[in-house]
Amino acid sequence: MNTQNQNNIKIAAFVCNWCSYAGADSAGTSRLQYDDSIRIIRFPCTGRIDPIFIIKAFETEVDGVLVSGCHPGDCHYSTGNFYARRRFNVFRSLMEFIGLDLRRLHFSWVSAAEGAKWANVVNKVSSEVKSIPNGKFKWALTYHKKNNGQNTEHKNKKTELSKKIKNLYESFIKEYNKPFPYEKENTLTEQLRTLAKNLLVNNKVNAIIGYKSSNFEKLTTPVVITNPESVNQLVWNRYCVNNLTSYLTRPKIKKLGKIGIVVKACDSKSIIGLIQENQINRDDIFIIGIQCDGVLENEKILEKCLSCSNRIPVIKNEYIYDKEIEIKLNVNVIDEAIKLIENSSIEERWNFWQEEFSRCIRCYACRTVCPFCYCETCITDKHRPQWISPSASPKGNFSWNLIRAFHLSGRCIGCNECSRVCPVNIHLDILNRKIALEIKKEFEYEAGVSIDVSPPLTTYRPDDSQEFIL
Amino acid sequence: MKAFIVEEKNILNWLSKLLQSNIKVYVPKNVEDYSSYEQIEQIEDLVLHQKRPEFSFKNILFPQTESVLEYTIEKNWVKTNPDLNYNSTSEEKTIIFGAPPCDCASIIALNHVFLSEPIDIFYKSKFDNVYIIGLACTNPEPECFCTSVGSSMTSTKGSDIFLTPLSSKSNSGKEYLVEVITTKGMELLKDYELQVQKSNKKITKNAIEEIKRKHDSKYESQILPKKDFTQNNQTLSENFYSKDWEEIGITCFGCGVCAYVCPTCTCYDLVDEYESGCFRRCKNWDSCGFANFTLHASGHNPRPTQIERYRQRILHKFTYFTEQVGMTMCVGCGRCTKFCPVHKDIYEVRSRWI
Amino acid sequence: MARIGVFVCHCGENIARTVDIEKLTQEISNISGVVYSNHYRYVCSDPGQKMIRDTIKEHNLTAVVVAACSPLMHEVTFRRAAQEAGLNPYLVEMANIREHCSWVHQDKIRATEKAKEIVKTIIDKIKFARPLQTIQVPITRRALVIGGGVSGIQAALDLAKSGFQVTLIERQPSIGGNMARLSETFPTLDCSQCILTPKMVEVNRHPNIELITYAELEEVSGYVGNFKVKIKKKPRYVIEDLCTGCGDCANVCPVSIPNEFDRGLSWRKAIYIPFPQAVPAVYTLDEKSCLGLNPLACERCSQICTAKAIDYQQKPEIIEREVGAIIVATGYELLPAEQAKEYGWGIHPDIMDGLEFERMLSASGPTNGVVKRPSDGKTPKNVVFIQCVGSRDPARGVPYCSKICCMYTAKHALLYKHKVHDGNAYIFYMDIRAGGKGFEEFVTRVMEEERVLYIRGRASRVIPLNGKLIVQGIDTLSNQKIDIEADLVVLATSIVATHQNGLDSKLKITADQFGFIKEAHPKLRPVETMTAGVFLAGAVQAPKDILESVAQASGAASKVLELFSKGMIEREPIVAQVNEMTCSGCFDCLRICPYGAIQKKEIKDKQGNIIKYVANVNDAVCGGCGACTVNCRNHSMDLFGFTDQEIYSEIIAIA
Repeated sequence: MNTQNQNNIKIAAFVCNWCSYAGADSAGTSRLQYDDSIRIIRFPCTGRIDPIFIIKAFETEVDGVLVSGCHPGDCHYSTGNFYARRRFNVFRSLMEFIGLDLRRLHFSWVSAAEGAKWANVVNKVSSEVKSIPNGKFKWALTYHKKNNGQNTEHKNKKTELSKKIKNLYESFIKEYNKPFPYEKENTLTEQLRTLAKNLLVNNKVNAIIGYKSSNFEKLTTPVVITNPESVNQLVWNRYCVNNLTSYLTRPKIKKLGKIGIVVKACDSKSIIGLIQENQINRDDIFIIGIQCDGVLENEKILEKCLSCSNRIPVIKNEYIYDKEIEIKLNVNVIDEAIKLIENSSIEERWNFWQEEFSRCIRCYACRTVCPFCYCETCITDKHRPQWISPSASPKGNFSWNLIRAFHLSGRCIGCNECSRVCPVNIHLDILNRKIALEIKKEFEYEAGVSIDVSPPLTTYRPDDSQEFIL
Repeated sequence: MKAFIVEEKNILNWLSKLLQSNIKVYVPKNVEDYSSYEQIEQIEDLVLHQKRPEFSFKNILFPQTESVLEYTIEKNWVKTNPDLNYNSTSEEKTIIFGAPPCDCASIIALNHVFLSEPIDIFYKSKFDNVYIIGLACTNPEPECFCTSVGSSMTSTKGSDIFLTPLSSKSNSGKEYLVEVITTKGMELLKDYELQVQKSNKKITKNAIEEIKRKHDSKYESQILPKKDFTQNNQTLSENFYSKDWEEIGITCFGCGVCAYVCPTCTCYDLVDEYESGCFRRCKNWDSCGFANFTLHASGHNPRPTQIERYRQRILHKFTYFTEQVGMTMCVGCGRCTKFCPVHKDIYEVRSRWI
Repeated sequence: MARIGVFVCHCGENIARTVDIEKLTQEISNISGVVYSNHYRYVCSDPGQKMIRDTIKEHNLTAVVVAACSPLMHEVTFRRAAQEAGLNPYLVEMANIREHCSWVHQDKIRATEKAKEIVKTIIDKIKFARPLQTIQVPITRRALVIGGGVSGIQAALDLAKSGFQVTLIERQPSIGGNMARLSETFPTLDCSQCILTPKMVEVNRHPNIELITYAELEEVSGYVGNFKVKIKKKPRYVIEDLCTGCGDCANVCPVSIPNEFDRGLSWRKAIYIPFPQAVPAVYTLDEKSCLGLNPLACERCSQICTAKAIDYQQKPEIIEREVGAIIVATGYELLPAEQAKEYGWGIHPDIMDGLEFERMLSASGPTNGVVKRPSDGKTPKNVVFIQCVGSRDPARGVPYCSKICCMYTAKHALLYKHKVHDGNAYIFYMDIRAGGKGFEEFVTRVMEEERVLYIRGRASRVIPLNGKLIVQGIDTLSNQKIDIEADLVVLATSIVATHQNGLDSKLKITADQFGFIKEAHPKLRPVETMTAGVFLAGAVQAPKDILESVAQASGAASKVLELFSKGMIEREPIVAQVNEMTCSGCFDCLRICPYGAIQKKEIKDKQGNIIKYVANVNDAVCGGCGACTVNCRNHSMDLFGFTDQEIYSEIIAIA
């Protein structure tokens, strides 16, 4: 342990103006002595504190972060801290999962009268940070000119954990990649074409988004059909991997007017989310659900299909099916991987994710295929201020992937398109699933189930869990 | 320039000599989840005839992120980092060994962009120190179409030295036809002597062609059928307003994968960053598929949708570049097809207008 | 380029003792953007402020940082000083090096270093500060009062007498509320009707008051100074202007049902006025009890009405008004009978709640003020009053104290003794809470002069037996079990919030867990709500007696007058702002805004086609909490005063 460093730690405190800032004032008025590592930034309300600020603070190499606000019910703006409490609950478990030592990240409620509590909280936080033996904290390694900005510490240094996860995935795929009864594909395709033609001819829809065969035998590619004569291009088979609902938010597609869209059960959930988030009108789309027995890429069944429990689309206008499917494997390899990670040490987790993200080339394929990444300008493309470094450098990659995961919290429906298209195979599926599980546990919410329930981060309950708050 | 037959073990010996003299050697390497060109420390790490890496060696010459300017601000005063300079002595000697012909050929396109005036000093400083040793392709992928862009499994374009394995006939171990293509390649052989088969007679031009023809014919059937994408570029231009573009482009999601895996895509963006007291101007890869690529400050975007953006990508590769340089800006590696999230097939698109 | 001036305050010795002021000032001057740095013994003093004003002019400063105490202390002081020197007040920030540094640390070297970092953080923040202008919002000078009880009446009259227009709406056919039901009021025993009725009449006659009875609030939009309200007037099937109140219709009406106003102690017809002094004195046809309106079943009322006031075709009517302020005075209700079953209430007619007993005591009530048992009409000789029924009882009722029961029970006992001289009154109580002018004296009088027996303890149950009511209880002072044979039992049931019909969400005000509306601050802003322009009066906020309700009504009225006395409302410009270019219209912001300040806005192209919907912030309503900014994933929402760029600079400056 480097004692020199221990005395020079720095902790960023993000506090609300009305309670904790005043509480710190009150500590001063009472001349309570506390650790001098704290640096306060004043916010109107904890509701204004974005987790991205915390990430940025860690990026700038502060050793710890404290977020403090009013006790529940005391918010100057009545509800700001309720929303904050939910956000930080999710964010904190994300940080724990990626291997941040939670002694570095604290939350507290300190009222304007609680000067003594403020002093105690600061002392507790700084002593916890000081108890971490690793000296100066490196959030992610800095840019290196010599290595073209690449993170050489973690790059290609596969951790034991990553090998275990790889084996886990392979064993699952091997075990469950049994031939599925796909013989109905042609019948379903025929039904789909007939329906599509009807819809187009009768002007029920202006275009249909579906799949068509590719030059390559075992691939399909999305197609937009506007002419009833072209419906024979449409196919339905085991290679229809894409989640087509991402197209629904594209301006070019929206301009076409009423859209018919072919969805698998998993994809249909994203439509629920898109309606919730005012991106599409239910009346503007005609949802053609189709029986899916699991889809393959490179002749391997996708992980999501193994755990697919509801094979009937949750929202649909028509459902094309042959007969009820009996195959319900309900084995969730991703959940197993999450358990594997959760049972690893902080360091193993940290190194695992560092290595994962070190590979990121910032092609944003994950973002573009995601039905929920519909922002007109992504936060990572905004440079004033530049919350996320756009370079494919360790810091930028780390922040980008974490922020994206956080932004999907309570929204991701688990189509896993992001991890499927990732050219460097980053395990985004694990990250997103972890948050989804956390949200389910904490807020009893599952994305893509009901339009009428408010997304978990846009609502609150006065009795939401707050065990993590000091 | 020069050609001879060499045993595999001698090539490896030669390579270890290079390794010992502190020259960086990059070879195609499988790293669990994906493959790329990786530096090796010892000859044992080399596996010949590896699967073609998922990323070309473009990153070595034209890094994805490269700092071109660094400065700090001190009391209304800007101080640049004097250690940051780019010239041919600032970089280490680097050998890229065993690259398939498609990757090697990309060098020609990269050179046209970065070494014609105004010269990109960042690229040049690296290029001057990079030696490319190509290896005839033995692992073509189903998406490959190098023969359609005027290349082949044994094309020496872009290589300094090129190796073609001979179909083994004797028990004396594997042999390679070694062609020295450039003076740079010559230098490398001069400085670090390569042991040549003594029994060898002088190899005739015909013999070389015969070896290559044999090799090519062995693999030609494994890739997409040969078409001529190098000619008739006007057909593409004439179809600028074709309805087909709408059909093709509307399903493009607009990610940067195709450009990032492409060995010849050269677009980059300049971004200012800040880190721990230091400001940095970075040269980062960019992609014409991104919506921000042509976005003007006014908010106007001359390529407003993926339809225009995808068309631009195809036309740039097969028309604009060809008109200026005389070669396609595509080496037929098929990586963009392979990685496209929606399985867009560049070969199929280009084939529409021959 | 920023030209920032930094003023370091010694605060006497308060800062200077632990922070090396000279060194700090010197080091600050090296921070980029700082063109002037100086220190002074007390910057907040007049000479200190003068120094700031002079320096702003002399050095042409674009921003000022004062390194001194907490901004909660002196930010206003320094902002005003800067404004006087022509600098926008929002270009002044304070670096807190006293409460957050010098007072809490002792090591001078480290404290000085920390102080420097604190100041640097603020300097970096203020480089991106923008000049802001206070927001001016015009006002519609008409008020809406919801609820025609004594609070609403008082508030409406206060406003009307001050010369402003008031719309008063009441859910019932008549105004008057619960106070109209009362017999006499404690502690002075004034006749409730006698003091209320003149006010009710005045409301009806006042030219500035528009009275709309039998109506409810349907919809509210807009914001302080500029609300648009829709009032739904239920059909009473009697044309108000024509009805003379003669009562012929009620005489011929064949339907008799229990009269709600008398808590079921009397009968009324399907066409009725709730009580003789009702305002307006207009009959109402209760469509639920009428034999039939569609198709018409009897029509007797219409046949007898010489004024031709009956109109069976009436439909609900929506009345729209623009108002600048809203006073909520919807009052209270008593705990529903189901919740006091152990005392047999609602099961036995001789067990009644306080309001029923009030009606019985009232001279204009169903018994004309004679106390008699509802079951057999006999005069009750033994009456047991049980206090805290449901109150202070989280297990079966509510945890809070209903506040007025101690007093009205004492009054009940007293009035009973006055009417039945040989009767015995027993009161079960937990404690006597008689805080108020003349209250304690009143209770003492009831105990000592009226000889009412106070039993400290709780009655456990009431058992009807042989025409009597056996009240079982315990006297906790003597620890004896007590059984009383009562003829009548009166329960002081707890006061609960009115069933609001979603009024709180319509007005975007918050109710507490019991349904009472929350005030903006329990001590300092008791008549305001979190929504600007919406005020509270009476028991809608918490249980209150008449005196308090009237006082609060006048308080609410004066808050409205404060608002109306200005032509414009001035608001802090710390409000959210949307980047319409990048807003994707997910409206997560709209979902979470506690002020309802966000609305959807159409973005159209040149041809007038809608391209997209984006969020739009109403400056006049936005409270400036910034919760929306975090839900905005691509930061299209920003908050003035705490912009992304400012926060970024602060975070960067920490490292």
